[in-house]
Amino acid sequence: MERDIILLVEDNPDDVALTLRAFKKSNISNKVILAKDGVEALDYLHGTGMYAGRDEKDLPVVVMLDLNLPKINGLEVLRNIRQEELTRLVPVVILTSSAEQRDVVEGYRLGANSYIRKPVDFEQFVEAVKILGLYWTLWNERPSLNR
Amino acid sequence: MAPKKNAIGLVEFTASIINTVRESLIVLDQDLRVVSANRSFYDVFKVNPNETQGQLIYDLGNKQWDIPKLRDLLETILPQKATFDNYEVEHDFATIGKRIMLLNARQIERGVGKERIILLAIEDITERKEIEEAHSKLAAIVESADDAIIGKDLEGTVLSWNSGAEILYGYNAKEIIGKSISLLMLPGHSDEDKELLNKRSCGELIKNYETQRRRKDGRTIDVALTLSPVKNISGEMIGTATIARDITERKKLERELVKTRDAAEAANKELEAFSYSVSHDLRTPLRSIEGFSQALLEDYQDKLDDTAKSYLDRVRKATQHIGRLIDDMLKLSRLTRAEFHHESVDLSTMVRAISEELQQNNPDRTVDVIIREGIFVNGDPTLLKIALENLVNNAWKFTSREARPQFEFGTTVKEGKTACFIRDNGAGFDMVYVNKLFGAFQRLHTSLEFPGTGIGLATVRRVFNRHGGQVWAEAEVGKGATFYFTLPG
Repeated sequence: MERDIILLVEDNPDDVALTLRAFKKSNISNKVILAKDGVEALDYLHGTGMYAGRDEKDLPVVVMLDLNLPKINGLEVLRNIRQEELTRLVPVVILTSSAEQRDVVEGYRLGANSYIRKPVDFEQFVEAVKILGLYWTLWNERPSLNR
Repeated sequence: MAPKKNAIGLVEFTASIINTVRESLIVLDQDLRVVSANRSFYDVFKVNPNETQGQLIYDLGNKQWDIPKLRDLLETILPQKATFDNYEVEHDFATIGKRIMLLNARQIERGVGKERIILLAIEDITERKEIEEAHSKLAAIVESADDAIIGKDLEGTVLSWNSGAEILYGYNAKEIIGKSISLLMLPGHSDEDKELLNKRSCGELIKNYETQRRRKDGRTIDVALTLSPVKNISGEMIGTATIARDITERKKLERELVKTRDAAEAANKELEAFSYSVSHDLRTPLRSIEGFSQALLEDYQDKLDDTAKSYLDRVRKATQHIGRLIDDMLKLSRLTRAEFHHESVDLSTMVRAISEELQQNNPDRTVDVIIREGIFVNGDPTLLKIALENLVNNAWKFTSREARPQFEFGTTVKEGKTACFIRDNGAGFDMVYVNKLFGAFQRLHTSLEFPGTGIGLATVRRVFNRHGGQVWAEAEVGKGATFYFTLPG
């Protein structure tokens, strides 16, 4: 179970620190791979660029995706993930500050599995992360991606 | 023998000519008695040959021919001039009514010792005159019209051009009659006239068709055209009449209006994008402040004394407050920009639903709710829901300290108009501050007494303003508050 990787795509270092702390507080001990922008995230998933040589069939158990990223924005990353045969099935949770309906709708339309708005209140944030983490790592049945 | 025969032949021949001719002819002797008249004369003037011959011309038809102007011609003019053409006489005949006649008169000398004879050829131009008069009336109307009225043949050659057209297009009638109407077209559009004619002949109505033309001075103007076919008596189309009106001013205003509206829309979009990014950009560092304060509290709680902990608590509460403010401000700014849908809204059911939800979320409180049923209004359901949520929430909130909290929703008559009201028996407020009530971020209580950002009532007022209605309040400290609102229609 610990080998199941969570890919966290987040550019804000404060938010990264808080999210990691939240994982810890919820006893989610999965390894967390951090991508600080869309390029790194896609590199990781496809085993290209800085992650060249990584076995791309070894997909994370869930991708937590912020939308406001430098270089490629989150929705573009999502579109890419859903377009590639290999990564199409990986669960993606959008975790972002924006609750604008157009982002929510577009997120679902592009194939996100879930859309969570980051609360300002930290306790609520921890709670959200905990629930998310437990749900996606423990409860959710993963599609078998090894053929 | 032979000459006589010839003479008879000639007379007969001449007589037949005279009797076939359509004009009325009459011959008088020098005493102005009728020698003879042709068939046309008898037909037109409805007199009998027996009654005519030998009669004094003035006595004809029972003295109907006693016409002063005729006397002038026969007795004054002819003796002097021997020939007179195109003499106009107008007379109201008893038998045939008013007639206008054109006369050619000749005095003929027949030789020494022989009598003079007078030849009169009479053309009845009554109808022609009537047509001419009607024609000049129409022409006067066309000329005096403000609008340009232009007649063209099927090729588009200008046949007529009124003064309205001269003013509109700058061309004199003389300059443009005979030329092609394409002179007025904008470059690249010289066929527009033909296109319009085609459309017309396909049965399309060209009425107030808006387009552009070019004046003689090169200026482009906006015109509205109405095209009508001109047909001959057989019903064949022989040309077109165009009426053109100058709509340049109106078009200019329209274009400006479109520009203003586009600018307003663009500004709106910018504002929306701005609000979106501002709220997002503010929330992010807010989360950091909040999160790390909490982290401090949790991870270092054994290293922090009570004062330190309370400081961090204040920091956290303050950031949470900012978060709520940002949310409320976003909602408020969105309210004015959202689309307005007109519907019939059941306010009673809406208030009941809001109240029931509040009751569910606050099971420890029981509030007496009195709702008058069947209150319907015209408005936007989403906006009204927001307004009512605010008002009902307030009623709930400010009665939280009452032993027997109660709120009521109903209608009443205020200053002759029907108004809805929401009344509670809660904390109320001092009417001295009633003007501050609906201001954004204005609060009459501290957050310790009752939480809130102070934007609720500003939102309420904006909703009712958008509906064209009004909202106001009456209250007494410790006794409760009543909020009234009206909606048009």
